[in-house]
Amino acid sequence: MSQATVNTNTKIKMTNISKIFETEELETHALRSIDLEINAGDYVSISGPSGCGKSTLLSILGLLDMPSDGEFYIEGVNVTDLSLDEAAEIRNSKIGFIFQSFNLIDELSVFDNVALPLRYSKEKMSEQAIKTRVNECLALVAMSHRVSHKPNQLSGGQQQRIAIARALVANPAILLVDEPTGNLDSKSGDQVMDVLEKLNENGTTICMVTHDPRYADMARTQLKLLDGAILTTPDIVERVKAAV
Amino acid sequence: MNYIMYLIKQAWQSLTKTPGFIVSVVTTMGFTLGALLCVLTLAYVMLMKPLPYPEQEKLYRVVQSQIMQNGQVDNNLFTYPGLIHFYKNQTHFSEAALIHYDDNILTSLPKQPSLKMGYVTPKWFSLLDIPMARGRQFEQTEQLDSHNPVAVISFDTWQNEFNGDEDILSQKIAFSGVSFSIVGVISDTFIEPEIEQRGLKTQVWLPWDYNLDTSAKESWGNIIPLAAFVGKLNSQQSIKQIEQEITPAENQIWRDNVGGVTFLNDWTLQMKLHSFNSLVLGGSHQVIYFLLAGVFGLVIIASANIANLFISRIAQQQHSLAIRAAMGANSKQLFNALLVESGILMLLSICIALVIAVCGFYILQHYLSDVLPRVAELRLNRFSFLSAIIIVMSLAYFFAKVSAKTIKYKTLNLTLQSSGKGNSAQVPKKTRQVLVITQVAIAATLIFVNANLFKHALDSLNEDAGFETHNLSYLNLVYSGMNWPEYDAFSPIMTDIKAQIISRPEVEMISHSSSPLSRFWQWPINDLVRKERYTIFIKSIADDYFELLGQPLIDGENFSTADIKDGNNVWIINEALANHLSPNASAVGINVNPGNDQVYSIKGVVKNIKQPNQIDQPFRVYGPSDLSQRSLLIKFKSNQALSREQLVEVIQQSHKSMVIEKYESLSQTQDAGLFTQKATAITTAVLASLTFLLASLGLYGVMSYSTQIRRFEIGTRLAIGAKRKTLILMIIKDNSQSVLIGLVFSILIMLGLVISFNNQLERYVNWQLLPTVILTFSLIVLITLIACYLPLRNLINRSVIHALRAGH
Repeated sequence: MSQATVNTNTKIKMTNISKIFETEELETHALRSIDLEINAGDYVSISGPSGCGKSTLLSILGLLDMPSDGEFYIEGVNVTDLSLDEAAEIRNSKIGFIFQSFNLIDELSVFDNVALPLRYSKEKMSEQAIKTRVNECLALVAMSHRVSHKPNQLSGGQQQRIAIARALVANPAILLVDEPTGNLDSKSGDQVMDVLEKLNENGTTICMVTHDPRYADMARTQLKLLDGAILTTPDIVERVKAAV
Repeated sequence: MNYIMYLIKQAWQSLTKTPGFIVSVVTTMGFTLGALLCVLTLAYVMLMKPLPYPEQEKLYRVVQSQIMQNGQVDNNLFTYPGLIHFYKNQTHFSEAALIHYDDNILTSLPKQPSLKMGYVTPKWFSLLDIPMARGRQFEQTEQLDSHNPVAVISFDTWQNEFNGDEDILSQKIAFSGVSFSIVGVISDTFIEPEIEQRGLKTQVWLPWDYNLDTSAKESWGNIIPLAAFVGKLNSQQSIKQIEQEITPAENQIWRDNVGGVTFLNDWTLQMKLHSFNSLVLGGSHQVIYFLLAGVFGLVIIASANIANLFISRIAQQQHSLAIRAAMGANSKQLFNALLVESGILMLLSICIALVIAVCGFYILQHYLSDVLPRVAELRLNRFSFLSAIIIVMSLAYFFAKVSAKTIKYKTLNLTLQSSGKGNSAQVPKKTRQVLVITQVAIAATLIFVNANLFKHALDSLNEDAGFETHNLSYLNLVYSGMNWPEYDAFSPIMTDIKAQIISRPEVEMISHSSSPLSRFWQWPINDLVRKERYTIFIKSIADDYFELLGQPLIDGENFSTADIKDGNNVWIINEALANHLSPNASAVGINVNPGNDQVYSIKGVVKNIKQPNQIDQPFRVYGPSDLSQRSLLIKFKSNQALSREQLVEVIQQSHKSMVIEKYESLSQTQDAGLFTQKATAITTAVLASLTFLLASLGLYGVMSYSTQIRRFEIGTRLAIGAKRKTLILMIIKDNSQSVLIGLVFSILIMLGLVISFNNQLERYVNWQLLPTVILTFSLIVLITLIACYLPLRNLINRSVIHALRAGH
């Protein structure tokens, strides 16, 4: 992991990232030459039609998948060619995930679900420290009263708030959010979006994939993907230029 | 029809995506069903198939028993004149024949082989409808007292001894100084009824008249072993009535003829009829039921394991099944698709099973023909194929049903909109735990038992016999002339033959002794000196015997030349008898009076030896041999030997009428004697490996299934930042409790076995079992670790998105 000479304010920097899915018969270019930079405190939304590469881009951003080409830095650390375990370490310390289907573990209580990233952390924390931090995060999403419930005892909106608390617990560099309201009714969806907005106001960097234009508009930077490439917006063009 | 073709095509495509699954199912079920088909066919042949003779249900052997004064049966044998009398005078059988089994030496061939003989009256051939490959059966010309010197030979004898000579019917063969013209060769399709000895294959048939020397034919006081009256019953009376009718008549004539023998006072005869079927089957019912139980057990274990694999596969297919359900497939249609898949797999398995069964028949016919009846008739028959079809259909249905039961049809569509609430179809956690526990308990027990039997067999194989066998051969001679000479007449003959053999350059040493592997004569003695009864096992040897065999003399001294020459009453005994006679001091010099007015002095003590299959150490005694003894031990020089033909030539130079009754290398005899141990070693090794394989597959199936349904959760943990090692440890930890409980159960089962069969198992239970226990448990732990890791490998060694996507 080499340090790159980038702005210390830059959380994410992608240069010329592409992703090709190969089968015996054909190659699919899921992403083509993506250049992207996300700074501290940004609220970025990525939207576009189905199959445009949104989820693939988010997977690569979250080190869940590897790009076929290009360079990728998180907080100045080159994460393009990490081993599986190195990638796990970065995901644990720098990235917070929020999935469309919440991905809470049914057997674990709300508390243990939220505490999970801390237990996988390289730096071992004391039980007391874990408890304090988990409670802090649950308070942030207003779920302190459901600490010992099991996920399947909660509503969809509540589950997603727990998922947000879990994403925040390890103080990640960025929150990656995949269609957070996709499995929720509009009221619960709005509540979840409120929570995200508040987090961003308090300084959390967020990158969100959504196909809902209403929620995409809530982000301050809106990227549109089409056929694996970013459609330029004035704002992003300026930023990319500045970075180069 | 089109729909069925479509289903088959779909099923095949779906199966080929998981070749590992096909291989696991087809090999496991192929081997297991192969064993099942083999045993089922054996059971059919033994218990249900009629014997291959015309009107076989009417074929009986008449057995005559001599009953002592106290009512106990002394023997079940005819006297020679009694047998002939019954044969000539009986009225209940429409056709009857006599047969006498024996061994004899074919002196007209250079090799002088010892052959299995059958001396028969002509009806033996028509009763059994014996098919001929060449020439004719015995006819009226060979009936009793015709003394027509002709012979019929078996197909194998024709091939092996005469190389299938086309001109066989013009050849002659000589036995005991008589030359016989070959008039027929029996077809290789003939199956000999095993009414006397299991697995016996008669090689040459001669007319009944040539079976014994004339003196025995007149004696009403003597009995003849290996002779039988057989016949086709032609009577409306019951077997009991017939027995009651023939007994007094036979008894009367016998009593009339043995009246002067005081020893036989108050003895009576009893006649009994035994059907061919009951004689052939003997006491084999138990063996076949035991085999059936064993093989059904194996099928149950294998099926349970394969069911696990099917369940695990359904877990993988959950998503595609949900889509089919969403498209309108009803539960019956889903079941049909599963049925076609399991049907294809079972068809493939049964094809392998049929091949395995045929291999099983071959093994049974070559190695167990003297243990199990009628194995010569084993081949795939209509029963085997019918069983195969029923097995395929029922197992295909069973596996499809098990798979279908796993699908909760009503919740399938929820799978598509799963919100991570864990509402996809699952086998409950408890069921999975029970599966792991039973799997481990059964596997550990079976591996442990088989590993122990294997070790036991291996120990017997590797055990030191206490004597050399290398380059040593045993030779026993008999006289083949018409009139057997006096015993002492053999002394000069044997001395000369010995001299001829030792003069051969291949021979290093020769001893006028019998083989350490041949029988020691049992002698129950009444020790008048020590006033106690015990049984000794004695054999006659020369003074060079112990040196030749490398059997150490541990006390006293060897026989002197004078002992041999004068036939002194001196013994050399083994350690076991020495310890019995004189536990605290030397046994040398002790006198034994076995109750025959002779006193034998102990001259030396030798180390114990172990014959194959010997369990306890008998009291062995070696006495000095005399020069008339017809046994020799030959030690050849390194890498040299004399063939049977060469030896025949040497002996013939000395004496024309002396022929080889037995000539075999000690190493080969010992190997043959250890056949049971070898068979046990191989069988248990195969069974242990098979159990290990089945247990591995079963555990893999359950754990693979558990991992499949946790795929989504594992993906989430990976996304949060769990490292691979952490997840491997988590899965191991989650399963370790069930595995431990399984191991505890296996210990309980084993303790149960030890308590229930304490008497039989006492010899085996000791601290030496500890390494096997450790080995068994290590193997189970190893299987568990592998079964934990392999299914996880696909998830943790790829990009995390793979696990997460599949989770949806």
